[in-house]
Amino acid sequence: MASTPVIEAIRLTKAHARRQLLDEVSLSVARGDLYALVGGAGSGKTALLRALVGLSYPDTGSARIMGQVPGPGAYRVFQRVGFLSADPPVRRGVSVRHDVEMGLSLAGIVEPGAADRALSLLGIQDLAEHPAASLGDDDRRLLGIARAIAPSPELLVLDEPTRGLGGLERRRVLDLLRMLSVEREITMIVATRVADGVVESASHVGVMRGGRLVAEFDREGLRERGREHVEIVVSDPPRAALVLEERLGLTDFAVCQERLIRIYVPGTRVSEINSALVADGIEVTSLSVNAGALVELLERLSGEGEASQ
Amino acid sequence: MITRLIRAELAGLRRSLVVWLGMLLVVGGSVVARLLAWLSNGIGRTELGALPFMRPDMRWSDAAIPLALLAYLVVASYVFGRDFEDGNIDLVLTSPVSREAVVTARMIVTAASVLALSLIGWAADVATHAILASSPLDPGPGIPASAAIASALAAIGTLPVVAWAAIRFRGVLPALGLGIGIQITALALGGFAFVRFLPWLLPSTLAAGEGASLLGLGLSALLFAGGLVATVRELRAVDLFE
Repeated sequence: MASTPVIEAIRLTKAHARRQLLDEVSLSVARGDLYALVGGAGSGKTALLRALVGLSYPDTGSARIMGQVPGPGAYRVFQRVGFLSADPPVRRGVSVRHDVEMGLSLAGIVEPGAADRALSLLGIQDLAEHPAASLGDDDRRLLGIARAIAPSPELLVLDEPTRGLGGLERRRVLDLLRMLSVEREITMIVATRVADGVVESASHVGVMRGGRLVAEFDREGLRERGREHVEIVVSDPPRAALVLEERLGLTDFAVCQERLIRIYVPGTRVSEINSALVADGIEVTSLSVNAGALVELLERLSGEGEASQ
Repeated sequence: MITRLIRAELAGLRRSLVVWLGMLLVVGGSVVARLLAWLSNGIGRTELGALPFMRPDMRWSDAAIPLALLAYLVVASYVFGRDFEDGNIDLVLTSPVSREAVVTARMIVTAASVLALSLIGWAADVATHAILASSPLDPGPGIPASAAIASALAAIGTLPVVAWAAIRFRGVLPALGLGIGIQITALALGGFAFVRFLPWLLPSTLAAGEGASLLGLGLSALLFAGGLVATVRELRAVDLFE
């Protein structure tokens, strides 16, 4: 029996000032998933996450988070859910450490050292005594993530955790997310830009554009689209498959639609493949090398490439 | 939970300038009001007291209470509205605490601040009154602590309206503006007998040592309870879609 989704949205719709923020968005995040929600500015990522954590009310449709309808009545879920907003706020008049400790205290967690551990994971332990309000944008984001992970949540809802971060900080956050997902099995839904690197660790990717979820990929689909491969269109796919296996010793290929075969090998082997097929009398009508087009595909689907032009 | 929330609220309030602004208004207002009462009493006994624009019977509460009320409004609008201005409302609404608890904790902090400010203002007046009592002019009657506290409690009764406005209009200034507007309107209408029972006039009445009508007290309690319910409802309805 399939487990209950940790997060579920069913045909969520939200409009504001004649702008469609969400348009019939449905998605489901299972326990242990790292779901990357990609899209450009104004694609609806933030609106969706906010509806999922109860900061916003959809016009139609329904949502569930940890089995509860998000909103004022479901405040207890935040003992098990960490949330990072797109523009992470800080508490005024307190130090960075105290800011994290206050969050822990409100969650009823009295665990000495928990705040410092979270700050260390983000590499901002040196800022522990600094006033939280004096932090720059990058450090505020890192503090926001520290605040979200400090109570050891079961679910993390993160809105652009790597936005604007420098190379080192971004790498650290990506490694942290991967560690939390793999080692601690924390479920995550992360809104992000395609190029921000979260997609590479994701088990699922949802692509948003204009308030709609326009595509979804699971790990298998991502793997297929993310690897360099050679695509050939041949006259006789079964025979071509035999040639690939027996003559060239290739096993990692898939016979797709309409005489198309996708072979997961480096592009440098393309002439070898062509020669073997032609030598066996198989007509090769098309042949192309696809160099790991995942990012390009996602950017095209989400319209991010267009936005940056 | 409420205790933890109150501690968090106090931490936010403690280092803000609002506390100092409130202290300046109640202490400065109290001292200046006593000086004005002292001068007007002194002048009232001279020929100048007969001039049409003079008020020889000016009371301490006439000047001190409006300024104290302004301080209370500043504190209440800040406590309930600041999160919308610095973006911390996300933190509040994604914490594992109910919105009823948030409003309750904030109202307790506001009420405690108002009571503390009123006692500080009263202490400033006692000190000023004691100094002026040694002068040849009459500084006017002193104010008992009970009157100051009763006045502050009556003021607290009106503050949920400000709290509601801070959430409804998402900020400190709209709430402060509404609070001042209501207060000025009430004070302007205060001369008419039919509005004397308005809750916004009770603080001045009680500080002046005049008794409050049962109707006035009842309306004040009703305003407080209704305001709290409306504030909770408003916080539950907050929609932060982006």
